[in-house]
Amino acid sequence: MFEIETRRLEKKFGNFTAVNSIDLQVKKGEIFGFLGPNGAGKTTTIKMLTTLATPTSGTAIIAGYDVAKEPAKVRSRIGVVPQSFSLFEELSPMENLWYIGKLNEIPEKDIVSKSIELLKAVTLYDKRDVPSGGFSGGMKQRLSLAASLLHEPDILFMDEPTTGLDPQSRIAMREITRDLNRKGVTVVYTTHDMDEAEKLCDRIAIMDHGNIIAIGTADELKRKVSKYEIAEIGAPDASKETVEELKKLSFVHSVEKDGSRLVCEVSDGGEMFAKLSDFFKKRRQQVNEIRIRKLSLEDVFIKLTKKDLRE
Amino acid sequence: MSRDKKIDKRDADEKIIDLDKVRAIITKNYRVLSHDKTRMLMLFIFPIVMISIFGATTGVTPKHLATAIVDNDQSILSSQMVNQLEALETLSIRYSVGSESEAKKLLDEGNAKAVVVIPRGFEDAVKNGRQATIRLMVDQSDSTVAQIASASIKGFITGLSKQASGQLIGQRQAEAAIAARKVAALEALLYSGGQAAGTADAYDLAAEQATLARYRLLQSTDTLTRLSQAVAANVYSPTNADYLNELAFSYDNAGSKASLVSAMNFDAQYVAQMGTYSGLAAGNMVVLRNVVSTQTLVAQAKAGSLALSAQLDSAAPVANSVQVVLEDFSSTDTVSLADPIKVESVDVYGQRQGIDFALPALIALIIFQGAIMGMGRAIAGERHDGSLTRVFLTPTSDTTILLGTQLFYMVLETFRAIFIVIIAMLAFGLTISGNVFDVLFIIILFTMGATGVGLVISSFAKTEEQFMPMAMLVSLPSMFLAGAFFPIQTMPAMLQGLAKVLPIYYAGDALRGVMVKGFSLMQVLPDVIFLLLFALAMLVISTRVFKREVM
Repeated sequence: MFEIETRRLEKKFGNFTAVNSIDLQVKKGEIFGFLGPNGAGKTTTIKMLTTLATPTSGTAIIAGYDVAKEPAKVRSRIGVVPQSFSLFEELSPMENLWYIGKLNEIPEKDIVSKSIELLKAVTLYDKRDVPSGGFSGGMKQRLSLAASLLHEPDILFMDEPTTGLDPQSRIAMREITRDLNRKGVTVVYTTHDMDEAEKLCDRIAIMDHGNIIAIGTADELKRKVSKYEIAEIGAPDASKETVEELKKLSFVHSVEKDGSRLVCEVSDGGEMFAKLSDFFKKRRQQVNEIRIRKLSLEDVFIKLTKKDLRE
Repeated sequence: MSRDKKIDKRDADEKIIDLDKVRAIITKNYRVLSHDKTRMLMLFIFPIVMISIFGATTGVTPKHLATAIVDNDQSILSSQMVNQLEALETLSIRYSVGSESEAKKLLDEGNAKAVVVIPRGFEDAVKNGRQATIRLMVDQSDSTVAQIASASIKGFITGLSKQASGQLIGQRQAEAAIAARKVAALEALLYSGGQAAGTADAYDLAAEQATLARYRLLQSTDTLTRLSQAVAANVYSPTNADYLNELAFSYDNAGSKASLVSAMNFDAQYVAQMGTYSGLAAGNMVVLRNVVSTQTLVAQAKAGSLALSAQLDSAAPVANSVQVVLEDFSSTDTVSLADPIKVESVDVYGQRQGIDFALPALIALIIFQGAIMGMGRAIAGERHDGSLTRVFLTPTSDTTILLGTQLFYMVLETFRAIFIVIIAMLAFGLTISGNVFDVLFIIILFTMGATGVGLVISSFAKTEEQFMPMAMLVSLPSMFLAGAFFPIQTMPAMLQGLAKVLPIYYAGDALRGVMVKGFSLMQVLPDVIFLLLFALAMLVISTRVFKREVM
């Protein structure tokens, strides 16, 4: 039994296909990541899964209920942390949580005790009676998270919750997310931060142009793309001939010029650094640095989409 | 899975209308507004500014309005009248022109606000008990000025007319008294003549007729006395009651109302006495005929008794003079006796609605604008800033969301309307003629329709930026078609038609009816029904077009 299951889920805006017939399964207790550039269709997918947008076609079953047929039942089982702050800036955290609690049919007496508990957990207890309009981005996002957890959802959707936050807030947000997951909440997390996705998510779906182009654990995705390691060589003067010769080396599997750098796929081996260093020394070509690292999700993404995520 | 086994409260069906949530939405909106002090302040400052401007421009009587005189009579009476007009505070006689067309030109150019035309033969008519008609033209393009000028000139001329009426009645009274004395003398003569002559029959009959005539004349004198008292006590006449009504509504103060009521009571007495007088005048005709036959009898008696011929000779001219007086009495036109000078208003630019009707329309206007903008903030604005997204994520039905939001703004706008009424009462002496609860009922009904319009617009609009021009499209025409700034009656037929499909027209009409004219709800039932149907239609449309989607 999957907590989330979609079949040929599609959303069109006129002629534009925002989400193109995606099939997806998310297991109970997973942290599932949607990775992709802006406009890839992540947010639209989340909106359909959270009943905020009606699918053009296809189905989505959340916690056993069809989003199109029983949206109210879906809503009572999910929590959503939207991309932007979606509470009332005029109201204090307690007032905001009271309102959301009432609409979620939580008994009046439970709302207060739960609110206090949640505000303590997201370290906003001291600010519980201060209007939230003056809060920092991180504080707003934590309040938003508290509001999504008030009715104890089974599934938590987080749409780029760390975008625009300072490093400390990002780390805090991730910590809270992990904590929730440990308590049994299934988390669906969208981000365009590769590093974050890799560190946090059990499984990741890479989206581009409305399609899921790859799905799996970070390791699975990497293996799918390449079994080699990456050598980044800072060689500003490298000539075409040099690049061609580099390609001929037995342990080098591909070379790509990226500005003043050469990015190579290389076989795992102890002397890699020395061998590459020798190669350039022999040809009297200047090398600023040589860095050998493991394949990152970013490399996977570039390979799969033929473009840089930061573009 | 555990939730499949136990009964999960989350599986309960979503209620279409959840009153607990409606209350929560109202509370939330109240808290949001009460935390936003600036917005709160603006909501209540705006109506104060609006009524202050209206009060300042419409509540104060304009003074020294430029007036042109066309004196076609050039008599002592007409120049006296012009002098007295000049003494009025509201008018200032700036022009004295030779013809009506010249005066009309001054009016067209806006140099004169009012024109008074005195007809040729004015003095002659007044002195001889014929009704004279003064023509009055006012600049109706400026409805405030038109009404003030018209009311003050009419009031003045009516007073003048009453003065003349009093004089005429006094004259009649004196004449009647003299006639009565003469008839008494005749009576005495006839009695003594009859006794002396011994021809009792003819003389007795004549004397009897004379007694009757005297009695009639005394009655006439008595009526005329009461008539002159009524005239003295009351400078108004029934024909001017309509204008007084308007005047009282525009300034709406208790004092003028009380004097109006007493004036109208006097008018009623006056009319009754005029009726008695008319009856007496008819009776006098009968007496006259009898007096004529008395003369015949006197002639017969004269033939029979030479001894008394000298005495009877002197009786004949007395009888003659009584005849003249009585003829005069019966031929007197009671209308010109009551109202010797008449004012005829000339509607230069067609009929106009007075400014006294502005306040109810203004209230309707402020509610309408406030409701639309408030709903825009609540629905389109919250959609825009994402807070509606959060509400969409809860198991709360569209109807509950819309109802909760609408109810809050209905309450808010009702409070604002009450606030406006209180300010208008304190600052501009507004009094509500009808039932206060009827006024409240109409206001609540209208806030329902107005918030409904806001709801429909904000349901159509995807963002607050889209909402603003859409709201403008509805609220700006409403502003002009509400009748607050311009009377609807002066608008082209097409615009009048448009005004009549807008709820603000009916709200203004109903409020005017109850607040100004003292109507009951039954008397404004068509307005109430329209407002109710409109509000329900808006409710149905908004739930149909409302989309639970986030862009």
